[in-house]
Amino acid sequence: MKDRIKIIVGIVLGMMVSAYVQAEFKFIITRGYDQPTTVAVVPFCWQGNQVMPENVAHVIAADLSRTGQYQPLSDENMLSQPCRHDQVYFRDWKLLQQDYLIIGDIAFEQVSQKYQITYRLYDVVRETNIYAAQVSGTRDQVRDLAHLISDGVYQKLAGIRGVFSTKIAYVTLNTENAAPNYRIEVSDADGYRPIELYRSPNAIISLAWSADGRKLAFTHFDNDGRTSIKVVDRISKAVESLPSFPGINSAAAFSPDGKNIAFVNSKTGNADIYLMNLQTKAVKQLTNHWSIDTEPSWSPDGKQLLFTSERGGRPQIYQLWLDTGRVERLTFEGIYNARGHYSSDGKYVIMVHQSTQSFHIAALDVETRQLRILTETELDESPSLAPNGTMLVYGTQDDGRGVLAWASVDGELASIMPSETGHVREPAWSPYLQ
Amino acid sequence: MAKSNLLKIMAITATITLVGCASKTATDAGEGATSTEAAATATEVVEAAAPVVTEMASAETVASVTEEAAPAVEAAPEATESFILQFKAPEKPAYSEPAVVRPMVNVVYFDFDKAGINPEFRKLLDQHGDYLATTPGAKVILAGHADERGTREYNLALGERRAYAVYAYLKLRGVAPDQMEMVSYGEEMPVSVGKSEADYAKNRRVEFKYQ
Repeated sequence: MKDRIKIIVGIVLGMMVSAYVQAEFKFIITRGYDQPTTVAVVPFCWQGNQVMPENVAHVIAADLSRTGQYQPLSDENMLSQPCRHDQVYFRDWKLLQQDYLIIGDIAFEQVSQKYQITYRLYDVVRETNIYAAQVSGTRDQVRDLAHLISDGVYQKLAGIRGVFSTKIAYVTLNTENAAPNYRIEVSDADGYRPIELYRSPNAIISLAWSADGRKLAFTHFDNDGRTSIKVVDRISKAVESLPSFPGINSAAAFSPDGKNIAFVNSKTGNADIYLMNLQTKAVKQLTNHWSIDTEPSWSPDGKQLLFTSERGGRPQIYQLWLDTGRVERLTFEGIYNARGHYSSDGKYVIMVHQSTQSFHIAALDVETRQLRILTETELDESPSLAPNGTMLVYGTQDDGRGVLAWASVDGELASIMPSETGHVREPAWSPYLQ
Repeated sequence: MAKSNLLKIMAITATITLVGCASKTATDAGEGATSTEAAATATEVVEAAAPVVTEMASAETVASVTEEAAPAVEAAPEATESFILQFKAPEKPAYSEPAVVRPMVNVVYFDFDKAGINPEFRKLLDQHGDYLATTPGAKVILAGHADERGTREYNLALGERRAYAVYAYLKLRGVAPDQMEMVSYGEEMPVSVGKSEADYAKNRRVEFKYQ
C-alpha cells in the first residue's frame, strides 16, 4: 500500500516536471515540409515498478518532429499499442496512414543497474521490420538513450547521421534583475537539460566549440569593456584565460586539429586576424589591412580561413589560404555578408546576409556561387550548423527578446523557440560527441 | 545619481540653447525638451541642439550658454569630409582661462556603419580635448558602441573604430595618448532598446568615461 502511494506521488511529480519543462522548451514550427513522412512512435513498454524518468517514445517523437521531415502520430489516435514484434498488426497502422512504426520495450538489469531499451522500426507499407537495436544506460542517461534511438532511426530513414545526441551552447542574458547576468549554458540539441558553464555580470559573446566537443572558447568583457578570450572545459567547467593584447581580443575559432586558435586583435589600431598556438601561445598575424578584418572561421581541412572584411567598402566574406596568404572575395550579392562558416563537407558557406533591410541567414554554394536565403525572420545572426549539415541554429529576435531559431539548409523548415524570460543568443552547435 | 543630475543639466542647457535660437528649431525639438522621460530623451535633445550651437556660434545667447560649459568658445571648424585623418587641429584659443572645465556632455554619435566624426560634435570634442590637454592627470576611457544591426563581432570592431576616431581627433587637439584608452562594447550595451532609426542612432556612440 505504502509503495503504491509512493508510485502515485512519483507519477504526479513526474507529470508536473514534464509539463514545466515542456513549457520552457516549446518549439514552434513556422514553416515545414509539404508532405512530412508519417511515423507512429508507440509508448515503450516498461514493467518495472519505478517511474521512468522520461517518456522515451515522446522524446523520440519530438526529436523526429523537430526535423520537420517527420510527423508523429499522437498516442490517443493509436488503435493499438504494441511493444513486441508479435503484437504488431500492420492493418492498424495502414488505416491510420502511417508510413513507419517504432515500438520498444524497456527492461531494468539488476546486476548492472542499467536500463536496456530494445526497439524496432517497421516499414508499414511493405510490412517489414527494417531495423532493430538495443541501447542501455543508467537512470541519468535515459534521455540520452532516447536521443540515441532517434539517431539510429534517422540514419535508417534519411540515410544521414542524426544530430539528436549533440549539444547546443548559447549565452543567456537575464534582464529580470537589476544587475545583468550573462551565462554560458550547454543543453541537449532539443534545448533540454541546460548546464551552466560560466557566469558573468558583463557581456559574453562568440562561443566556439573545439573540434572534439570538449571545450568552448568565448569572448569576455571586463568591467571597463576590455575584451579577452577564455576557454571553458565542458565537463570540468575549468576556465583558462588566453593571453590578451591591447585592443580587441575576440572571435576565437579552434582549428580542426585543435592545435591553434584563430582570433581577432586590434593592437595595430585596427581589427586583424591572428593565429595563436594553444600549446606555446605563440602568435602570428595573418591579415594586415587598414579595414576591419574579423570573424575567422576554418575550412574543414584547416587550410583556409573565412573572414569578414570591409576592405571592399562594405562587410563581405573573404577566404584566406594559409599556405600562400592569397585572399579571395567570396560574396558579391547583397550589401552586408558576415560571419561565414563552412559546412562540414566544405560545399557551402552559411552567413549573415543583408540584401535590402533585414538581416537573414543565407547559404552560398561554393561551386556555383549561388546564394540562397534560408530565414524569414529579421535581425538574424550567429548561424551555426549541425555537424550533419542539414540544419542550422541561429539567434534572432521575437517580441524584443533574443531567441534561438532553426532552419533547414534546404530552406524548407523554419522553427523558433520563444523565450519566457530574458534573452537567449549566440548559439553554437556542437560537433558529434563521444 | 550623478548621471541623472548630469542629464538634467544637459536637458536644461539644451532647452536654454534652443529657446535662445530660432523659434523653428525650438519647436522641432520642443517635444523632447519638455518631456520628463529619462536618459534617452535628454540625450536626444542634446543631439538636436548640437548642430544649432555649431551653426549659430556667433549668437549672443549661444555664446553665453556655452561659456558655462567651457570657456574656449570659438567658431566650429568648417565641415569638410568626415574622415578623421584629414582634420587639422583647430587653433588653440587666443586667450587663456585659469582652468578648463570638463564638459558636461560625455557622448558623441555616429552614422550607420560609419566611424567619421560628425562636424556637429567637433565643438564638444574640442572642449574635451582642451580639458584633457590642460589637465595632464586626467584619464579617460573612450568606449565605442554600435547599434544592433549586423553581427556582434563586426560591431565590436566598428565600435572600436569609432573610439579610435575620437582618440585620433583628441590627439590632434593636443591630448597625450597615455591619457586615453580605447575600448569597444560593440552592440552589447545599448542605451535604447527600441527598433526605430532614432533608437539605433542613440546607440551608435562613443562615451567619455573619466577615471
